[in-house]
Amino acid sequence: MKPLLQAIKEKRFYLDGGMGSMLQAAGLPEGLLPDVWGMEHPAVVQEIHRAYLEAGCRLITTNTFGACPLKLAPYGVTPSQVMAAAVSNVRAAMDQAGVTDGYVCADIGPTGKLLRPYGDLDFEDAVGLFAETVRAAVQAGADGILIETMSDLYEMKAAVLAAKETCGLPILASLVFDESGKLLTGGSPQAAVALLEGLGVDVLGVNCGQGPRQMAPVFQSLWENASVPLLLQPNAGLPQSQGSETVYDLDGEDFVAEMMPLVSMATLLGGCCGTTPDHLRRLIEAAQGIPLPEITQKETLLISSYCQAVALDGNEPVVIGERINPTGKKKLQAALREGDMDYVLDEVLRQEEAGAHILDVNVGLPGVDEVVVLTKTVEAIQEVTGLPLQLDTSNPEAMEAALRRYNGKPLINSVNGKEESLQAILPLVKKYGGGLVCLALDEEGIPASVEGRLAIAEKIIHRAEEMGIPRRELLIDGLTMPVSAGGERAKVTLETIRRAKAELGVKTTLGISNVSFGLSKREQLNESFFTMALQQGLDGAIINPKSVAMMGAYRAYRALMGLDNLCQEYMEASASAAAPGPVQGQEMSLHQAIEKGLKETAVVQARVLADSGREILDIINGELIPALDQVSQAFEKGVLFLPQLLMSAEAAKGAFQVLKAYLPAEESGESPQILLATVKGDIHDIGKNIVKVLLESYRFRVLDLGKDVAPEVIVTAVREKQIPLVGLSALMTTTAPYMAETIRQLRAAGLPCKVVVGGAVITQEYADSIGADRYVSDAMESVHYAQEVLGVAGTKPVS
Amino acid sequence: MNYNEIARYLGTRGAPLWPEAVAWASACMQELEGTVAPRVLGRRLSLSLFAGESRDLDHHLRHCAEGILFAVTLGVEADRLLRRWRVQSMAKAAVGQAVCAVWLDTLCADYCARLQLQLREGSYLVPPFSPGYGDWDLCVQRQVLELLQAPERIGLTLTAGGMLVPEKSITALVGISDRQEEACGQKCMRCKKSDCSFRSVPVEQ
Repeated sequence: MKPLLQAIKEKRFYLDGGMGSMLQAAGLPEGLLPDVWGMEHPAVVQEIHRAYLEAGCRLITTNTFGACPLKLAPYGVTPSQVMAAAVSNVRAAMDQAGVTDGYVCADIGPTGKLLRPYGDLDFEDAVGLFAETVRAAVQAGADGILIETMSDLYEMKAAVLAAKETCGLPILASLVFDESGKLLTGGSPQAAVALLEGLGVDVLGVNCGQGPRQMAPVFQSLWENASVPLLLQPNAGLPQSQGSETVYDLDGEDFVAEMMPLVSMATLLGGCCGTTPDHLRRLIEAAQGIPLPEITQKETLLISSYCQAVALDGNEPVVIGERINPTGKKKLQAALREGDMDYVLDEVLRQEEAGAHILDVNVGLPGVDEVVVLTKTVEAIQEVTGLPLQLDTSNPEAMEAALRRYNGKPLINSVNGKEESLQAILPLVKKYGGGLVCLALDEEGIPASVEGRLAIAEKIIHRAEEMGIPRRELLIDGLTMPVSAGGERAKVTLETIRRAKAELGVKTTLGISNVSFGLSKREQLNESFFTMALQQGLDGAIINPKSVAMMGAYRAYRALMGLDNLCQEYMEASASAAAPGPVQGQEMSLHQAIEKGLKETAVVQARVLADSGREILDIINGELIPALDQVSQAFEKGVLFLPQLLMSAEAAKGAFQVLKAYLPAEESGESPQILLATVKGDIHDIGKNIVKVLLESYRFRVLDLGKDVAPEVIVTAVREKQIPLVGLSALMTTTAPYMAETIRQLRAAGLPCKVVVGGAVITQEYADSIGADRYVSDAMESVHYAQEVLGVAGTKPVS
Repeated sequence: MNYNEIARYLGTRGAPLWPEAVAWASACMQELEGTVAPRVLGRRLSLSLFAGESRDLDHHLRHCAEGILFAVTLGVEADRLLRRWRVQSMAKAAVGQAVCAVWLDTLCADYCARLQLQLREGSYLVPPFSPGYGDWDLCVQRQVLELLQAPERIGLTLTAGGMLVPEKSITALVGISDRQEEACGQKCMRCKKSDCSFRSVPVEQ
C-alpha cells in the first residue's frame, strides 16, 4: 500500500465521523473515559469502525482522543495499552469489512490542561505527555498522527513538536474554532496557518465546535492562506439540549447540503460530534466527481503570535520595533541584569501603542546568560502583548531555546552567508518555523558592492530551499552602513533591497537607524533614509516606533502610495499627535502630586526639586514619604481606597527612581531585600503584586519570585541572597498547605529570616499554626511589618 | 456597567466610585469587550450525582431533584489583559479585577435568568451554589469540569492545585425547585450574614 502522504495526493480521503456520540448510544456510561471503555468493549468499537468503513471511509481514527497519560492515570492504564488496543480494533474492523486500502490514524486530543503562563502545565511537560502517546501510536503501528480538537495554538505546538521528535509519521493537525472565528485562546485562522506550516505539519484543518455552515468562513481563510492540504471535520450542526441529552441539528442530508460548498477546498473530509456513518456515506456519494483541490504555494510570509498574524506580502511594509535591545541603553542593561521585567514590558507596551507591528527582542549583554534570559524575556513579553516578535541573537543555543517556547511563528534574526551560521540556523528554521532574516555577509565580511551582497543572498536562498525552507520565508537584510564613513554606502544598501526583491523574489528588511551613526541630528537622516528604503520596496523596517518623525514618515508613505484607504490612518495619527495630553497639575508640589497619585507630575516635580539643589534625602524625607504616609493613613481609615493608594504608591516610586540617580552611591545603597512569592500551586498573584508596589514605594528592595513558586526555590533564594524577610501569599485552601511547607523548609534550613503571610484564605490562627512570624490582612500592614523588621527605609539610607 | 458593584468589589464600603476609577473602569470594560468572548456552558442533570457530598449543598437543594450545572469563563484573553494592565498601572489592574468580577457576576445572573425563562411554569431556580461554598469541597471541581467537558468546549481547566484557569471563571450548580419562596431573587432575604457588603436587599427587622 502507498504511504499515506502519497495517497492523499492522488485522491480525496474520507475520515470517519463521531465516535464519542456513537459509543454513548452503544452504552458508554456517563463519566467514563471512552478510550478505556473501548478497551473493554472491543466488539462495540470494531462495529462502529466497520460501519464507517462500509460507508466508504478509508482513514479511520483510533478511539484514543483521551489517551493522554494525565487522563489515563486515574484508570491505571497507559497510552501504550490503550493505543495498542485501539489500533488493533481498527485493523480488525478493516479485516471484517474486507477493506485493504484503509489507513489507521492515531487520534490525539488535548491534555485538558492550560499551559503556562495562564495555567500550570509547563510547555516541555506538555511535549513529554504528547510524546508518550505518539510513541505508543508508533509501537501500535499507526499510519499517521491526527492531533485534533485543539483550541490552544501553544498546546498544538507542543503536540506537533512531540510528534516530529518522536516519529516520522505524517502529522495532521486540526483545530477547533468558535463562532467568532477564533480559537478558545484567541488565535485567528491566519495565525494557525503560520504556526502549523512553520512547524511543518503535512495537513492542517478544522474540526468540532460547529457545523459546516458556521465553519465556512474559517475554512475559507485556511484555504486562502495555507500551502498544505486541508482537512475538514465539522459537527452535525449545532448542539441542542433535549432534557439531559445533547443532540445535533443536521441529519445526513442537511449535513451534506452544508458541506458541499466546502468540498472543493478539502483534501480530507470527515465528521465530528453527532455525525454518523449515514452522514459520511451520503457525503462520500455527493462529493464524487468533485476534483481534488490544487495545493498552491502562497507568496505571503506570515509571522504570528499566539493570537494574530502579520502578513508580509511584499506590498505593505511593516514596522519592527527596535527598542528591546540593550546596545547603548543603560536603563535596559540594568533591567536585564537585575531581571526587572517591568521595565522591559513597559517598553513593549509603549512601542505597541506607538504603532509597531512586530517587536525585535535582543538581550545580548556581557554578563547575561542569553540562553536563559532571551527565553524568559520572550515569555514575559508574550504574556502582555499579542504582537509577533523577532528573536534577535547571534547565539544559536539561545535562539533554539527561545524558538522552542515562543508561542507562534517569529521572525528569526538572523542567518548570514557564513557556513557556520548556515549550519547552525537553517535546521532551527526547518524544525520550528520562522521568517528568516538573511544578512548579506559571509566569511569575507560585508561586500562593498550590490552584486557581492546579492550573491550571498542567492547562496542563502539556495541553501534554505535545499532544506525545504520556501523562499517566501526569507527576508534579505541589505545591511545599513553609517554614511558618516563616506562613499555610496546608503546607495548600495538601497539598491540591494530593490534588486533582491525584484530579481530574487524575496522579502527585504533593514535596520534603519545605523545609517546615521556618528552624526548629529540623526533622526533627520533616519527619516529620509527610511522613506527612500520604503520606496525601494522595504518590507520589514526595524525602527524606533516611539519616534514621531519615523512613524510620520511611515504613515506618509502609506498614504502617498495608496496603501492607506482615504488616508484614514494618516489623519487619525495626525489628529492624536496634534493634541498631546498635557502632564496634569504642573503647578502641584511633589507632595501634592503623590497625594493625588499623578505619576508623571511626580516625576517632573522630583526632577525640578533635585535640580534646584535641595538635599535629596530632604526631598525624600520631607516630601515623598510624608505624602505617602498621608495617603496610607487615609487608606487605613477607609477614606481612600486601594486603587488610590496604589496610584500614590506608583507616583512615589516614579519620583524615587528620579531622585535615586542624584544620590551619591554610598547613600543610595540598596536596602535589604524582601522576597515575595505566591506559593506553589497558586497562580492568583494580584495581592502579592499590590504588596510589591507598596513596599517599593516605601523604598524597600523587593525580589519578586512570582507565582506558583516551589518551597525549594524560595529556600535557595533566601540562602543565596541572605534575605531577612519573606512574604508569602496563598489564595486557596488547596494551596495554603504549600505555605506551611515553605515555612517548614525555611526553618529546617536554619535560615534566620522572618516570614509574613497573607491571602484570602489565610487567618491569624492558620498563620500561627504554620509558624509564620506575622499575619497581615492588607497590603499596608505588610509595609508596617517590613518597617518593623528592617527599619524605616527612606527616612535614612539603610546600611 | 454597574459602577456601584465595582465600588463594592474595591471595598469602598458604600462610597461611590470616584471619577478616575470610573474612567478606568470604562476603559477596562472597553478593552475587555474588544478582545474577550465570554463563554457559558450548562447541562441539566440529576442532583443525585452530588448528594451526600456536602451538608450545606444538600440543605440548599433539599427541595430540588434536578439542577443545571454550569460554568462561565472570560477566557485567557481576560487574564492577558489583567497582566497588561498590571504593567500599565497596578491601580488600573485593581479596578480591572473588579470590572472582571462584576462582569462574571452579570453573566451568571443573565444565564440563570435565561434558564428561568425556559423552565415550565411552577418551577423556580434556587440561587447558584459553587464548589467551595460552605462545606462543599473544592475537590469536586474536577468532576464538575468533566461532566461539562469544560476543557474541550470552553477551554476551562483546573490546575493541580485545584484552581480554575482561566482565572476569571465560575462554576456553579443551580437547583430547580417547585417552591417560589426559594427562587434566586430571594437569596439575600434568607442569608444570615446581615453585614455583607454584597447584600442587595435590606435585612428584615
